[in-house]
Amino acid sequence: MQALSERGAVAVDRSYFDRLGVTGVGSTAEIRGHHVRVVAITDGIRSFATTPYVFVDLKSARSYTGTLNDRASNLLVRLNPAADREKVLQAVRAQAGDAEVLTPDEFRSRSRSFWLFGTGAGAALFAGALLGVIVGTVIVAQTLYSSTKDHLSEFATLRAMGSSNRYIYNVIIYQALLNAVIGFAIAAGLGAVVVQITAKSALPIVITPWLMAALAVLTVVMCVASAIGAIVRVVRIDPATVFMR
Amino acid sequence: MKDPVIEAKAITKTLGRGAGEVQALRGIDLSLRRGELTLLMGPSGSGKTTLLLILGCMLAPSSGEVMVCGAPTSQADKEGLAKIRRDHIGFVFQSYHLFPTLTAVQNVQLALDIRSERRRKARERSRQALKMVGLEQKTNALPLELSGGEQQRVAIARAIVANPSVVLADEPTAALDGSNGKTIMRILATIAHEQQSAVLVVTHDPRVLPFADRIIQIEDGRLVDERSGERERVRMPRSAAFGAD
Repeated sequence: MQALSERGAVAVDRSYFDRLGVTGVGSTAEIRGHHVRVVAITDGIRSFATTPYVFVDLKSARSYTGTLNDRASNLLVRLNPAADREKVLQAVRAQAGDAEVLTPDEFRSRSRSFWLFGTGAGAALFAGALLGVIVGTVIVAQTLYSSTKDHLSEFATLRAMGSSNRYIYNVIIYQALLNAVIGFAIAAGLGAVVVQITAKSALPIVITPWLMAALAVLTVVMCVASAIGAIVRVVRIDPATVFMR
Repeated sequence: MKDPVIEAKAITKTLGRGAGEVQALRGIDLSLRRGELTLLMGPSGSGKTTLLLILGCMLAPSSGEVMVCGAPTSQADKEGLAKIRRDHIGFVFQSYHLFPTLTAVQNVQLALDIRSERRRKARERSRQALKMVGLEQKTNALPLELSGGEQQRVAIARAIVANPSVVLADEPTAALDGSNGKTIMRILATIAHEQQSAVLVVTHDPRVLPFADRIIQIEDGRLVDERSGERERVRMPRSAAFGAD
């Protein structure tokens, strides 16, 4: 912070070196005609959008962006640990006029909502995920159905021997769960590699334990749903066919 | 005379529709009793297999009633018929219908799995059944590693492992040479006489006649002749009796 108070000093994130044309501390560049020099480097402070962040002191920021002294886009209010957050929030809201006053959680949520629902990015992400779910379900359904079709004789034998529908369902659902476990293990492995690879990139992919658990549940649900076609096919088998072969 | 395990009264069965309609069975009355090996013989198209399917609760008669262990089957739905098969009937198929990826003991155990028997006990009973048919040395062999006669013996072990009241066998010797055919019939006769099951063998193989207690002739969907068999009452120790010739 001390270094940033110097004239023309900036801090940039390591992941944007290529984009900004700098190589590290001591590199020089230009912002709107102003010469600047990199004096500090951040690690992992990245923008979700394409424009990188450049950190400077307030005075320089106003100068580079042409913002008047009585104007600001965002103001950060840091509370004393002993302060009553709700009271402060109400007091600031009462005096802020038309400006929005948000807690960190509200700010985070609003930012997330903006990117997911206020831009095309969210729709593209959801569409991609939905497509993945549909394609995955169809592939597992096809695999189970063709596997079941290849073994109709065995299923007919089981029916002839007197197996209940429930037993048959269990056999097929067990196969579906096996698909889920194997598929999820492979996907989780690939996911871990992608997380590692993108960790230092401009757009890191984060898979939290909760997300991992939700994906595991989704995979199981997808695979079990995929078994419906195979189950319907098997339930329609006439056990008498074993006497015809 | 013992009570019948399966009793068919005035069974008729019409197959097909319209111009293709065929009267497969025309008023069949038949009882199968414990301790008897009955042969059902007749030319191709005489209705043997149709009758077997009806007695085995896999096909509903057009009219008439089938009683299994004293209970009528006409009101049972598919699951109910499966339960009757599971509880009372063992099947031996002409082409064995063993599961190719399961070992001999696993194939036999399947008949107990569908009855929800505990795995350890089921494994032990399956070994015992294989011992009864003289295959105690081949419990871990896959079907492809067994001869035709041995595969049929595994199929018989699977049919009897749950101690069914009745064993229905469809042309069990058709695919076997004389020696293996005799072995199979000797096993089936012993199941009838020592386990006190009712055994019905559908066949047109005259080599099996010496093993029958009763021979029923069917032609054009009617029972045209019934006589006592010419069973060779040769008693041998089980292990010797069930070994291949």
